Amino acid sequence: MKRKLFSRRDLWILLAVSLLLVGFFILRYYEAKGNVLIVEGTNFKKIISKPGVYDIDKEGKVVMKVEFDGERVRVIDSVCPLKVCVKTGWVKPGGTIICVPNAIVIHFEGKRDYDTETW
Amino acid sequence: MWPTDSKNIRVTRQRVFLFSFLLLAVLGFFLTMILLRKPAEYYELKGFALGTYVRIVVSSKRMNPKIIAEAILDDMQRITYKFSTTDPRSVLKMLNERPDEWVDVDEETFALLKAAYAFAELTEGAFDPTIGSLLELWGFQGNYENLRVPSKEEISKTLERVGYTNVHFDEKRMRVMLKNGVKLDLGGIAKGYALERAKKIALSFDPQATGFVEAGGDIVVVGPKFGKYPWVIGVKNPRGEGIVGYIYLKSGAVATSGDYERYFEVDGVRYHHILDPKSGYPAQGVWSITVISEDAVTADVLATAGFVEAGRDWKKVVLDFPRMGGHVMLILSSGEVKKSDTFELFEKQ
Repeated sequence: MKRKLFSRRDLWILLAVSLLLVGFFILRYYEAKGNVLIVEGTNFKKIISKPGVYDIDKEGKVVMKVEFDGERVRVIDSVCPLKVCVKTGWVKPGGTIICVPNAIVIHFEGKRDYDTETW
Repeated sequence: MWPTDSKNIRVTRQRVFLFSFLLLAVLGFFLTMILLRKPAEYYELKGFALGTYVRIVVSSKRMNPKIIAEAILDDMQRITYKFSTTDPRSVLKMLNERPDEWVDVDEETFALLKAAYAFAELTEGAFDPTIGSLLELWGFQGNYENLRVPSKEEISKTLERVGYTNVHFDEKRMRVMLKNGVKLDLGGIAKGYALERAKKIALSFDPQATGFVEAGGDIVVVGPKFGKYPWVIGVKNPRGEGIVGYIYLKSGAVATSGDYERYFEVDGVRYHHILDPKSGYPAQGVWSITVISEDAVTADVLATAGFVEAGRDWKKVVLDFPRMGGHVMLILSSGEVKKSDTFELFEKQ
């Protein structure tokens, strides 16, 4: 009797393994795309993943307002005198906003096509 | 015991195919994982020092890179207070408070001040370490809480207390004297010095160490990426998002000075922190300058001096700085980009 190369069961297994691989690549893609903010201060670390406007507290006092639209992040207000963090403007995945007087770093997780930046 | 009787196992074409497929899928999965994994070889340490944000990225096969990175950050914090203009532990503060008097200093301070003096001579005063009083007048010192536009009279009066030739050295007894009320500010050189030391610290732990150290956008390369590839460095767009170009460094250092971060505005006029030691006002005509050099001190100093000088004569900066060891990219306030021929060598991978 001539046998089929693929039986119905083989096709199911093939489909399951393919789905697993596709799922893995989709997961890697979204990881690389970066839609997570890490706000780090001297004594705290906050992870933000949903778009919105966030108050950043330091020792019980709001020192900074951060706006995250899911694709970009910026500081819209800060108590620091020169407001370098506000002047930095919108930052995309892989980018960082630094506020030296408040000792706060906002890092937008994600890949970029260079290792570091001179500014 | 393994069954020796294989009669119970039916080897069908279907089973062989299925087994081969699963084997390939598993191998493929692990291969993909290996290819996509992030190289975990580099240890990264972030912190604050030198009045800015510091990032240390280092790798060593000889020892734990965490120890190297922590030693570098400790040293940067030591340099921060030692050469601060406000910290009570600062040597610089002590010198500034004792005018017209020979003051004994340690070897490191003496050498750094001598280097600052030499760069001031080389750049014909475009970089001047005695600009302290002027920065103080504008409020560009300490925590920047007293920013203001001084009057012309105030500026011309303060300029009388600026001039690197007022720094005197006693080589034999390692002493320094500040004359005519000048006040030191090493803001244009201390970052470069700290970076150069960072590189030396890393290489003293492990001569084969690789990585880079970054302080407020100035970068020194400890060694090539994974021992053979250049580090890819983006140059920030001075008027907008993103970057304006890439440079590729396997060694050396790069520094950028710009008018786009440390500034304040009054009546729509931007006043930034890079002051021209001759006019007493923020240097004009340039948005940013990026300088690549063999060492971080030269890159840092020439970025400040180049910003000041380019406002007067950009051609001089582009043509003369390579002879001083600085390869330059300028973005003028017209938006035009001007580069030394030698800078373009670093734009190729």
